[in-house]
Amino acid sequence: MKKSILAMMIIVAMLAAGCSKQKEFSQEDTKEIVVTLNSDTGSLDPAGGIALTYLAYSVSALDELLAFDENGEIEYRAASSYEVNEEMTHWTFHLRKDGKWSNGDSVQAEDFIHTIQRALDPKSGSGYGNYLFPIKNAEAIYHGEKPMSELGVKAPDNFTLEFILESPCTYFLDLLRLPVYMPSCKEFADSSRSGWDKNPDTSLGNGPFYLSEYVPEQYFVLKKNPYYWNKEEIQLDQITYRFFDSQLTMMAAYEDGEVDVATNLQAAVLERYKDKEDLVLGNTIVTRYIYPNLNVKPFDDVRVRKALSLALDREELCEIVGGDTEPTYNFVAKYMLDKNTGEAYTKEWGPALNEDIKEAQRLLAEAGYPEGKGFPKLSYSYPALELDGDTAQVLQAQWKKNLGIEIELNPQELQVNYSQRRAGEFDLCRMNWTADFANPHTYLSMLLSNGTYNTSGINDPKYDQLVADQKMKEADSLAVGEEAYIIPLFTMKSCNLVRPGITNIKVIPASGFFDYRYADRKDVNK
Amino acid sequence: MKKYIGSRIAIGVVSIFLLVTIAFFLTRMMPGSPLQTGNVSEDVLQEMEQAYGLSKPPMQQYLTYLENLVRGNLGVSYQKPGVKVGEVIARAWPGTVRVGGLALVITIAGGTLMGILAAVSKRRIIKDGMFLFSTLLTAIPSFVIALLLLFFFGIKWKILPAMALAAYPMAVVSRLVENGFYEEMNQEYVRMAQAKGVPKWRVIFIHILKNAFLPALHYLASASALLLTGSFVVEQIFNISGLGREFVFAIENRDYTMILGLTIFMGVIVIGINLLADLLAVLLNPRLRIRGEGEE
Repeated sequence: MKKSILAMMIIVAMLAAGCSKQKEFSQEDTKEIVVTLNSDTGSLDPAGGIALTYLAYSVSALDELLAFDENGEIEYRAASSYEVNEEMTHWTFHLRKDGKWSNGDSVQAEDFIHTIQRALDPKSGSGYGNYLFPIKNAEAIYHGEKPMSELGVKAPDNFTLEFILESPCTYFLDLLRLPVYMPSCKEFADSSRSGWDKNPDTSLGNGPFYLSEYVPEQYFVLKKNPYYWNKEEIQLDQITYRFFDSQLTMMAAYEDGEVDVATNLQAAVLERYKDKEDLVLGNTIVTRYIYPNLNVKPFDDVRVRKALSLALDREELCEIVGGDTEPTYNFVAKYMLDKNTGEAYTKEWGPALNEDIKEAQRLLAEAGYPEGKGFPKLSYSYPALELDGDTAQVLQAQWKKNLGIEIELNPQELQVNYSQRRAGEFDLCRMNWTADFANPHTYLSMLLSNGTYNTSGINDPKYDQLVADQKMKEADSLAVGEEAYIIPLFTMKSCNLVRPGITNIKVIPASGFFDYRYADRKDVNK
Repeated sequence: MKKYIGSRIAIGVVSIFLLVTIAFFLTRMMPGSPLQTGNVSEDVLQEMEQAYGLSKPPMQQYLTYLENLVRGNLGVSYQKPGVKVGEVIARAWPGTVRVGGLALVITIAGGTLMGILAAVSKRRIIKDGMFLFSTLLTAIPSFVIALLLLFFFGIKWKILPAMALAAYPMAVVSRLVENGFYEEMNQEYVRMAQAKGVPKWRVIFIHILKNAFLPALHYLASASALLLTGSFVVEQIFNISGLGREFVFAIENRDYTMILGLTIFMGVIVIGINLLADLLAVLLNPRLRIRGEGEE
């Protein structure tokens, strides 16, 4: 007996002693920052099925043709100049001759075409394929109706890239930051499922950093690209991203000094880090809103939809659900900037709706439900997350108090919420949209009659025409005000912790994400 | 004896088959699709479902799955492009074993010491204190303990997750050891040893513990199966890339093959350890052994 106990203890001790070396983050001799990232999801292939991991990776490791800085000025990256014809249908980009991949090879026009062609195969799993549709014949090729040779993208020589568009596109330059317009090295990037994207030997970067190590579920390391054309401006040697599942753990890791930057934390940090240098608030380019399902009675009646929207008190809602939310009265994200003026679109346009409980009650009565009498039992579907749960309770209470109607709450698992929304199986459904690019079109195109995300049965030729004519303000006002196709609720601040001493972290205007490429740390001397 | 072992193994295999079958159809009954993320269009979704064979009828998918499983192939993940389920398990298990193993050490060492202290101490305050402490540990769920540890100590100490995991089994072991001691302390062999002048510590740690620990040993077999297959919540909280964390992610994202692969893997370990415990019990307990032989 004694022996078996002993044996057991030895086995267990061996297992425990197997505690292999953990990676040591933040070495003294290199300028490194360690950044938190939500769990490891999706591919790093710009033509593949991407998610948050790619978005973090690409900011530092890939150079798009050109980008816009915080002041709306063009910052040339892989391209050194561009021309466009008067009709805005023919765009020519001249690539910089000194643009290099991280193995020293030059970045060529074919590398950009390589991503586009792969993304136009639905099998790639790219969720951004439809953003290539402004290009001539791209949509037909995507649906297998035309051969790839008819695609409106050409490379007359190694350093010239031409786009011929189906029709004029004023926001084409804004699209260039999307993954499908990024280069992927023709030599290595074969298929989105071969694993080239996470293998440091084949995963090249043309930006200031490149992938040097990828440990699934734990971390990945980006090192400075020694061949980068603008390497003098790059101060950091290394950026390490560590994956975390919970925001609470992220904060604990920051407090323990295991990471230098913790992003998108819970609003609780506002209180905890009030008046401290570490706390950095950012504006995210996001709108959280509700879809009323037009196929469900009585939401086919615009008076009912408007009543629900006007009866809310968004100020009160945001006060209750958390300090990182801010009421919004438009569809287009509150802080999306108009590059021509430097002002937010929503500020230029003004609110598309004015809350008015009296008017809401009048509209509801006119629709046949005075003081909510006879209103059918309908439900509000939302993902069972903390913020959405709190929001739902406030909405329920406000509708009850202000309109006398009873809305049932239907919390769902995130995946279930997605699939029921897509199938149009809901009465009222919570929706959240983060901008893909810095133009109101990223929002307004969602409600087009043929839009992929239009699952609430909106079919309004007048709206479609306004969007086609680029009348963005009018379209926003129609969708939120006159027709109340959506009920906007709030936008969000991102709560981040950044170690004092780390400087020059920029914010990408299109998404509100942090950009670390020009960051520096003053607390480390090389 | 051989027949007994054979029948135990057969039961184990049947259990695993049932586990696979039930788990397979349960995953298909879940609403949502593994390929559905925030921004995937209808075309992409259909193409992807076809590529992964999800557009076929479930029965056909099931047979294909079984066929692959027999060949030892657990399939590829739906969520991690190009990654095999087997690779994920091979990568995640060491993390789980590390924490689970350490938790097992804490369970055995801590539980035994607590049990002995409670049993042999003459002082009321220690006896009551131990009782209160072990009651608390069994009553508070491990994730609450994990959050408390995280709150007070942060994530730096690698022993914290093991402590959170060990809390409950440690309390159980301490109770079992304590009760075992009460039963053994009045046995004649103990009095004999005392009468012969054997030192007190020797009586406790050698003579009594050897027998008093037996009930705890049986419990530890099942506890170690649980500890070695990971904890859903504790791994999440302490950011350990182990099986539990993979499992939660797979379920949230409807990664069917991952869910199945992990279920099978954990099932095999749990069933395997229980089988071992059964066999060990036969070897240790002559009465069972004789009965087993009698059946032959």
